[in-house]
Amino acid sequence: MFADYTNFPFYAIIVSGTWLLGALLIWVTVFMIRPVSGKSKIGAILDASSVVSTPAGRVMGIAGNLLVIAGIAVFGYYIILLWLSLGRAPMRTLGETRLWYSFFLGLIGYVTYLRWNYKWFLVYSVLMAVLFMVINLVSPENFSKTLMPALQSPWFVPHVIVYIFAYALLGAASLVAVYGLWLEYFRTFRKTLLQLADNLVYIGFAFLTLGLLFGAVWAKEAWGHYWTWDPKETWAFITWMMYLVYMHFRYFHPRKVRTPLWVLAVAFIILLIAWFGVNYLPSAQSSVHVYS
Amino acid sequence: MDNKEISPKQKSKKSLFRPPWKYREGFTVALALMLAGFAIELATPQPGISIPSFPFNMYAGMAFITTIVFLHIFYRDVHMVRWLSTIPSAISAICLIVVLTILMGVFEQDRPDAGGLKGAIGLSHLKNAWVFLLAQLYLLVSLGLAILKRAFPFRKRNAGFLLNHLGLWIVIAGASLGTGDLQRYRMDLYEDEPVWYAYDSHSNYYEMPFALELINFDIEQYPPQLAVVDSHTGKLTDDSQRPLPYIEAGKTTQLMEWTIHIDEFFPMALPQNGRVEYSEETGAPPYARVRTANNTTGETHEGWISCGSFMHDTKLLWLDGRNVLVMTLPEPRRYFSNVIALTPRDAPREIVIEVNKPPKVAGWRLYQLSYNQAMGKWSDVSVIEAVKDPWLPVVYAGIIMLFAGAAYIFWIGKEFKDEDQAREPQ
Repeated sequence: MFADYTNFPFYAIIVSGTWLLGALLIWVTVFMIRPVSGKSKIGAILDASSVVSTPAGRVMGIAGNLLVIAGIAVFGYYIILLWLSLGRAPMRTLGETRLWYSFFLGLIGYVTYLRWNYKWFLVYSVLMAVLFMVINLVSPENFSKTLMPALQSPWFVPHVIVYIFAYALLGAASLVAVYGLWLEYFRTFRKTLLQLADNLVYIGFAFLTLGLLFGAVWAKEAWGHYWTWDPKETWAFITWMMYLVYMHFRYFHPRKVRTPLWVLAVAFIILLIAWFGVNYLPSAQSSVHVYS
Repeated sequence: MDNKEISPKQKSKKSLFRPPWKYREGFTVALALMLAGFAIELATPQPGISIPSFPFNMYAGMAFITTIVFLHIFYRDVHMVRWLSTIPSAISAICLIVVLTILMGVFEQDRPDAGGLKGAIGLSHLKNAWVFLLAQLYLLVSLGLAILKRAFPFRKRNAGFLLNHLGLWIVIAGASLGTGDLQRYRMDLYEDEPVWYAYDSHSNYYEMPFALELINFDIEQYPPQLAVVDSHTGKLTDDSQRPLPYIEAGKTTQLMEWTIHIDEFFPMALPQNGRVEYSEETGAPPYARVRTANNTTGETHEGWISCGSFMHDTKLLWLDGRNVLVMTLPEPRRYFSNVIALTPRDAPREIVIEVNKPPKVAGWRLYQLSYNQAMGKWSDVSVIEAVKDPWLPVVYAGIIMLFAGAAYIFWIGKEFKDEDQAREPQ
């Protein structure tokens, strides 16, 4: 049972359980603190550098960390198992990309938490990851072994992984933006939030650029030209430009808050169109990116 | 500069196009360019604009670069020229491109004969339309002036900026000018028949500097799979979307309540003299000899099954009064053409043209494009696309700069926070 890739529910439950419990333990430590003088508890939830944990909080934090790491390890093991038994990279069907998406959401959430100590961000990432696993549980896809010849390329794996990584980061940045707009409305917005968005967008944009360029180089090999304005390419390009607008605006107006947050929120809608929506547009009739 | 933004009153007082220029001027320029593009498209008889071929596209590119450098050297103190290198101008240019690209993403493209208003103002063929050309020129002027401003005098900390911005400039300019020299033709190859001509999408024929002779076209396939179909509904009996088992000789597999043993499997075979034998004849489909047993009722069956081909019927095996065992059509693993390439200079050489692995002959890349799909792997025709893009090195130089720039952004993403904090106490 431990080495059967068809047993996705078993692994999904273990990963969801460890991640949810781990993230919850880590997040709860937010409240088990003595604030450093002059800082409020609300402020501490956003900026953990201003607090000191209680001993119990520290133990729970360690336990939470171990649980999240265990979940990442089990998920990684399952993906390796699936990859080996399929004999190809599990990145073709939407169900398979959802698998990677949830894996990277968990991983990015945890790395971001380690780097910048945003606990709520870990909780969000884990919740999203679990949501995608539940979608896969409810509608399992046929994990078919075949890979159509056009997808058999050394560019396939980096192209998809890099894109999924970018989507996960930029999706998180947009959530930050929506949260920021909400806080801004109640006039409790903090500068650190926009800096988190910047960090996510810059890293996500680097990956988005790599994905676009890998795709262009691959298209030259597979279709004869690096850019053919295929509907998917068109919308990926629009997405790329939207994040360019955000980055330039932020650079030029570092103290404006509302406009960049709105740009970020809208950019994510465009990103979703590029990811799923394209398939339903009239222009997509002849797209090379529409698969079963 | 930042103080002015904070006071909205002051902003609204300034009339349009009075210095200092900001976003309002930017979006006005963008809108004017869009309307101008539509107007030119309406006024010109043929749809869109075609980029001239070498050497005129190169001259145009050199003139364009000279103009930008000229503006930078002699007119950089003119307010409008200085404004063109700022972010408000860049953002308005990006937004214009975004709006046009969204239109491109919504309307079906490459139909310049669409007629109606959509065709008349260029919305049905945006990538060749005047409006898109003007938008690109606006972006390239703004981007070019920003690059020159940062490049001289050169500072190390601007390296990342220059990689990203110059890389993008080179990619856009190179790709646009390159369309003038891009040649994409098709060649229909039939077995043992050298072909030295190709045709384009308008059925114009061209003589190629090489000839291709098809030895054979083939499709390598994955093994077929076993499935149980409900004869009443015509659908799979098991709708859980579990993976179907692959057919291999000697394999025993469980499919719901049936145990299925595969005695023999031929990827290509034909029934001959009352039994099934391996065959390489055209249209010979895969065959498998199977024995089935129902685990609960004990009912057993045996026989040959086949998915058939364009020449032969499928063969099924009834499991009971309702369910049948079938073989699925095998899925393709590899399409390829074995071809002899003939050039005036070199000795004939044998090449393989395969999806994702285009070989190069006399400066042309050759792509496996199509075949006779009704005949499948026995197709007697192979359609090859021949592509020549002399501007590719230019575009790839830009792409490599963008790769390096993306790596730079990845690092800077961390430092950005500190920079921003440093700016805050101002």
